[in-house]
Amino acid sequence: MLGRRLQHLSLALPAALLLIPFVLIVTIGGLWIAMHGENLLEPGSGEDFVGLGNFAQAITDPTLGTSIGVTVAYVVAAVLCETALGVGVALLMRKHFWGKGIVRSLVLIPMVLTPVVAGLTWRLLMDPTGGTVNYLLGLVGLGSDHAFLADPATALAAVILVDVWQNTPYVVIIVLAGLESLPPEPFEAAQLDGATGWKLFRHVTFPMLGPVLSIVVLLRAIDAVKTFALTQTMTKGGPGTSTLAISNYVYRVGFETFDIGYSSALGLVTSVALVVLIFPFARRLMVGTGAVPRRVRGGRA
Amino acid sequence: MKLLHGAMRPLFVYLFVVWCLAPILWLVSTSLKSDVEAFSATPVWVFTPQWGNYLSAWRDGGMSQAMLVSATVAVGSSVIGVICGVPLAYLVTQVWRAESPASARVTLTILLLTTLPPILGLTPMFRTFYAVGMSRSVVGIVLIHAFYAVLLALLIFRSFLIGFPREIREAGMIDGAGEWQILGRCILPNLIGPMFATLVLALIQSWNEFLYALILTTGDTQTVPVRVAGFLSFVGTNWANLTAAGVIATLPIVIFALLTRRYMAQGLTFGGVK
Repeated sequence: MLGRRLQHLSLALPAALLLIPFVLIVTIGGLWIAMHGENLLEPGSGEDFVGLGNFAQAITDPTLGTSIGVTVAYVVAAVLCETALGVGVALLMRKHFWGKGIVRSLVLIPMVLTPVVAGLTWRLLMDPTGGTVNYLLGLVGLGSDHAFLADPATALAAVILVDVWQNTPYVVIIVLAGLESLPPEPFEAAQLDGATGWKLFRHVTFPMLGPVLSIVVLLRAIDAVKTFALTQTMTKGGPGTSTLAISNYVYRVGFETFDIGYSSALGLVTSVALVVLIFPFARRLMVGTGAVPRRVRGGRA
Repeated sequence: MKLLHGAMRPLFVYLFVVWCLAPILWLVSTSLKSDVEAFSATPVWVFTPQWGNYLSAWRDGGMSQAMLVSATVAVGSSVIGVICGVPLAYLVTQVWRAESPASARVTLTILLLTTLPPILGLTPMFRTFYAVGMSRSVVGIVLIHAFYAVLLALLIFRSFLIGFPREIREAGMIDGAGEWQILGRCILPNLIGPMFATLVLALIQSWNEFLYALILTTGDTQTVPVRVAGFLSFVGTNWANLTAAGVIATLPIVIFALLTRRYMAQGLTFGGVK
């Protein structure tokens, strides 16, 4: 059986050769840089051992607190709007209508659009002088000189709007596929009992969609937490810190002020926090849906 | 609720399509305007197409070089991702039972790595590539995108292999075939569609990736998103050129995505939705 065993190992080998060095570099390298307080602008600064100082600073850093707040607001608002709008549109698209096939293809486009291009397109649309959004608002008498992205009061909402624009189709596509895979019998039975409209949705469709919705919300949340390209191209985290998501802050510290030691510490602290928060959900939600098997613990294989 | 029935129903869907496409159509139309028209306070609806915007974005703006780099990085990393991820997916679904603890451990590790934010690797990767002298080549960015492609390929391909009949492998073993032979000759030929879909999703992921590309590529090795973002500072706000670059950047992936629409839902949820 040694031959078989070796063959099994060889199946895992290519992935292991790529994944293991990466994980080692990220963890050990990250810890090393964080504990040496290296700054790219100060040659030799990587040689001083500063211990856990950067981590202590990170935990009490008010800007990190602010950026966590921004990220949480971003994730909650974006994912909620995307789910509500996406489920609504998917329900409308369920029955046959003229052009359904083409519509299904067309809504894919924002979703696969390069986020940098999406951010720049909307930056153009929302420009205070040349932007079309202001022109349209002016037409209906709502004023035509809003600097959406330069005003701390509206910048975050504007960026969230673009995230919603780009990612609602994701929810539509997946919920629609989920709806189409549901068995028709419960709907027929409920309709025989006189359930229609909202009642049918609340008591039949929604419960049956539960697993699909959980996965959509989870995957969207995991993705939204990592947001960088949209915020970076639209506002660079500004004005001030009003759209400074965690990724933007870590990037700013590491590659605009070049304090890569502190940037590493911030990255490690937030990553540990994120994994502790999200991973249990990921594990539980993926269980039983075919993504991850139900029984995780137990004897040897 | 009455409104949502009958003839009104598709109308709302069409409105949603307009909302999805209007900004993109505006992007395309801006890319064909002159710079003055592109940034005019009242939108210009009638204009002579300025195809020169595309020429200057392509040639002077360096989009041709960026497209070449991005194509290399995307193809290289997704092929590596599939080559590494598919055998592992075969191992954890067909060789080991998907319910086995060993299989679950591998899958949960991959899920954990997927959950980790990319910012975690930002400084260590930058520092390491700098130290080994890879900061001026595309090798570094290919390897990093390949890492994420492996995670994607494993999670997607696992979902396609999990429902695949195990009898095929057993028949192959009776014939004395090795695991690689069974995978290559008996299983993969049945899964060409899913394999293509996995490849395309990895391609799109790599093509769109911005964070690592921003710090690990410079000058001639800049990928498309980095180059497009660079239009902001290089040419001030030459929106006509910038939008032309944006259209060029977008075209290839939109075409690819439309080709694999059929597998999107399953691929994008790692099998959560069939």
